[in-house]
Amino acid sequence: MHRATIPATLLSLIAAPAAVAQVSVTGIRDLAFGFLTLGISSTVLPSDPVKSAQWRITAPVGQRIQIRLTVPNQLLGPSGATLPVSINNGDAFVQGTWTGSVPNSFNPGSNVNFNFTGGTQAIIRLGGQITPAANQRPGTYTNTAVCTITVF
Amino acid sequence: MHRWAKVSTAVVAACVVAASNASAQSANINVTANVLQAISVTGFRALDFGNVFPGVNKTIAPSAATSGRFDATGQAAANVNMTFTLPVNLVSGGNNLPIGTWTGCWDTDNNPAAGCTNFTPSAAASATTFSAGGALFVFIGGTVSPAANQAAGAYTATATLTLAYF
Amino acid sequence: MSRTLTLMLLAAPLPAVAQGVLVAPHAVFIDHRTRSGWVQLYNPGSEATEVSIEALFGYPITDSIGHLELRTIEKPDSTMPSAVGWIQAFPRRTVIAPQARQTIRLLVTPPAGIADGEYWARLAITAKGSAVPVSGADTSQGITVGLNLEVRTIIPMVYRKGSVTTGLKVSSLRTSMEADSLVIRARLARQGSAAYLGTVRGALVDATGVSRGTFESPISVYYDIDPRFAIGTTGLASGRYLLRFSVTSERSDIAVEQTLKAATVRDSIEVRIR
Repeated sequence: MHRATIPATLLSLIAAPAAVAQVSVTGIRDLAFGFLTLGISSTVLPSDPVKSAQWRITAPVGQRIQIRLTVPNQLLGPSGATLPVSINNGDAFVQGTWTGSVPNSFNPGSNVNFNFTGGTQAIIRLGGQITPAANQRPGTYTNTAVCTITVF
Repeated sequence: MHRWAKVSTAVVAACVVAASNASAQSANINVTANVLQAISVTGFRALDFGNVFPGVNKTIAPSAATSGRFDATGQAAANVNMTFTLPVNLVSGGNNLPIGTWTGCWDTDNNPAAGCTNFTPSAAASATTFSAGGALFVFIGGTVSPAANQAAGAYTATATLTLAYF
Repeated sequence: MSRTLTLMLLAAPLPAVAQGVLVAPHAVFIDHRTRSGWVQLYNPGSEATEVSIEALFGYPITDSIGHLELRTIEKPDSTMPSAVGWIQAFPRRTVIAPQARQTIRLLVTPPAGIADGEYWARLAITAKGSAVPVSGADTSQGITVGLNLEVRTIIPMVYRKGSVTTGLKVSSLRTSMEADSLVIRARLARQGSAAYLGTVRGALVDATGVSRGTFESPISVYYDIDPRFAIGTTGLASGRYLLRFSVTSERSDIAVEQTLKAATVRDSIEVRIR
């Protein structure tokens, strides 16, 4: 009779899909520029505790992920009006919630890798800048930003 | 042996395929802004009488380079009212230096030389309109009448422009 | 020996010392359910500005030639829908640093049991700059001038309780020629329980249906008014035209959710240009 044993390496590969299922990303807070005045620039720093956007990522310790943000370059307003928004290098960071983790600033236009070295949660923060034109139509403007995480 | 090798190979192959298929998840947030129409009034330039001689009146016209100038911005083509609270005297201690005969004009560009609508700055409302671009320029002049024995000193006054939006 | 006095009346500050305040929004709408609102102030200048805010009662009227004026009433009687006595501003007085913003919170405390409807006030925001020394002063004789500038902005505030409606009736549409302009007058009578905030448009159309001149203006009708509008006639051929006049309850400067919808009103009149 042949006895079949599964090598440890194969066992670890079989176990991998279960780890992927534990990774999640959740939108926590909108990027809210608030009330803007015509012709006056308004900046939201990614560190702003109220206005910056925030996502929360949950993953097992040791997990490695890739983060990609898809951010708008304009907001959509009343009667088809558009409002340009600048979200550039340095307007985002990712940081683990465990002690000793420091903000890792990154370019929202590029992917960034992140390791859950000391805990199971991390946050992503996003800011930006808007300068309404002198003839900008008053009203509410909005669009969507997406955080995509990829687990390999 | 060969059957195990086939099974293990198949399992490895399946896991390699599974591992190479990166799992992606995403979450959205909104980016929002609320743009407000504003109205602003700025004192852009002082009404400058320059050197004044005791006993000699001096007048500055609204179209002069040293006339007082206010710049306002607001909703395009909006009607607004202007009223002024203007001093009768400049005061230094117990000394008065009369000022009056106020004159003014308003325009939708910053050149009072042409197309400026005349008005008399006073407490009575003067009707004006913002330009199609939401701009308004107000120019004022006046006359100071120093006495022949006008005392030297620091003369002060307060002038108030009120812009009322409907 | 003649003495010269260098005087500068600061009706406006010296260049590069722009003094004023930016006020946003330019109309404040407060709902009875929240009873609170705000105004944002911005100091665009390079000097600190002392700002104060007060409430008064007023509404637009028109004079005999159709110009809009703000009628203010120091002590409105009980027949007037005044919200002046209910408003508290926090802070009521403050100093705004250069290039800085300040939010003024407004708290409205109406008496118990007020009827559904719209109540009005005007907010007067006064910005006061520091005394500015005059240039070219003859300092050898110790003559100096320090001058104060105040700029005051008055904006409308509307308080709404319950269901309110608005509308407009147009009558007495008429025209006259003044110099190189066609002057249009129309009587606008507010309907419903709330001020009518909208946009007036006019188009002068020739016999072929082509528009030869237009005007567009935001309008606020609290009580009946008879405003004037104008279309330039320079270069227009003599002949008959049709003036199309309309008023819609939309405003490009006020958020849609703050304006009250009402039916568009239209009228027209034949005009002869000579």
